[in-house]
Amino acid sequence: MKSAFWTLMIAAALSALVIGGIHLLTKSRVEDNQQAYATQILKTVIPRDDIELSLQQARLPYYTVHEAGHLIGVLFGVSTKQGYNGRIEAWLAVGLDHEVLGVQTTFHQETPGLGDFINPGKQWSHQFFDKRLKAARFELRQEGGDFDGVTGATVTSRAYTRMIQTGIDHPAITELAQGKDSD
Amino acid sequence: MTDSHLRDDGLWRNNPALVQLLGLCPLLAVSQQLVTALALGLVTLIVLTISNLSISLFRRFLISDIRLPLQILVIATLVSAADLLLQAFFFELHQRIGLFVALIVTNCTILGRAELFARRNAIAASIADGFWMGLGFFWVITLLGGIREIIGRGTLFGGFELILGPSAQSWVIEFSSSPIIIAGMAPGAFLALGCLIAGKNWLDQRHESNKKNRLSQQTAR
Repeated sequence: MKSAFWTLMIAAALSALVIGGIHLLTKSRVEDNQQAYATQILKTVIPRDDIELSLQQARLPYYTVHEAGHLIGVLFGVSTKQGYNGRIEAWLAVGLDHEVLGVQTTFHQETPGLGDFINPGKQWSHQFFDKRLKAARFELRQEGGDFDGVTGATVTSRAYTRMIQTGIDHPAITELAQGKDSD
Repeated sequence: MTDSHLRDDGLWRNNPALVQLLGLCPLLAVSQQLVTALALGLVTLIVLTISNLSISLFRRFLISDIRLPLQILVIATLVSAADLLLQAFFFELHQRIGLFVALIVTNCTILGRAELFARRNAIAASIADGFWMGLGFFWVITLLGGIREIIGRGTLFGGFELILGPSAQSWVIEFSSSPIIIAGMAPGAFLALGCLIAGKNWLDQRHESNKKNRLSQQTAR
């Protein structure tokens, strides 16, 4: 019985050594892969080819977006608590002229079937694309604004529209746009 | 036991997936598409061969009281190692089949071979047994993956860029734009496996009756 115990102990220790060793050897590679995979998912926020993202450390970290080597904007997370059922989160990419390059919802709990139009891949959010938004009124059309709401889900539409407004004035954009002018 | 005996056993007569019906969880869950089936089959084949090797190597230490925990320990170690290596070298593939790589531990084919064969046989024979049994599992899961991808998705060779890089993106062949969705779902997996088992039994029976016919013809003469 005693020898059984020690056999099991030694086997467990050996097995831990093997796994630990492989883990140490592959650790940095796995982390690189995870980073690359996360950026690749992020790239799908912007519906264009030849996009590069690089993480910028700031109080709220964001990504700068390069298209074919030229700086075209920034990408960062936005959120609102004004959704019909609370929080909505999304990735928002904004260009140097305050135009929306892309937006992709990452979390929401709006009513299924009614609030679904903010899901990734839906057409509704495309009305924000490529517009110079500095002068836009971020309200729904029936409330005197510039954007179309969805009937039956006014609250969701309004919350999303205002959430995008909070993003287009991201301080990094102004900073980067100035930097580019002085180049 | 001769080598050809082990081969016939693993690939056909005592095939782990078609006859022993072991390892059904990965077999049914990962065979939606050829590429995932192929990859999991390959990982299983490698783990099974190395597991048989290590069990046979340490078979003097497998005191009967603790032999099951020790065998599971060896298998779990190998699967964890395979999981880490997949994450390091085939990360996107791992995103797709990662959950099932861990479940290889519960693939009874592997514990079954350790218990029934490797702990009682010499190293070379154990490696051969692991390899042929693994190959037996491999061809069934690959065939199942291919069949279910053609019927359930209307494509074949889709997703090969996961293992072979972006150049394999163009490998995909489209058969139909209106696939029969159920083949890709869980019931479809059972149906397809059932058909494969029926097919194997049918072939065996035909073979058997041919042999009988020939025998009776000979005796009649």
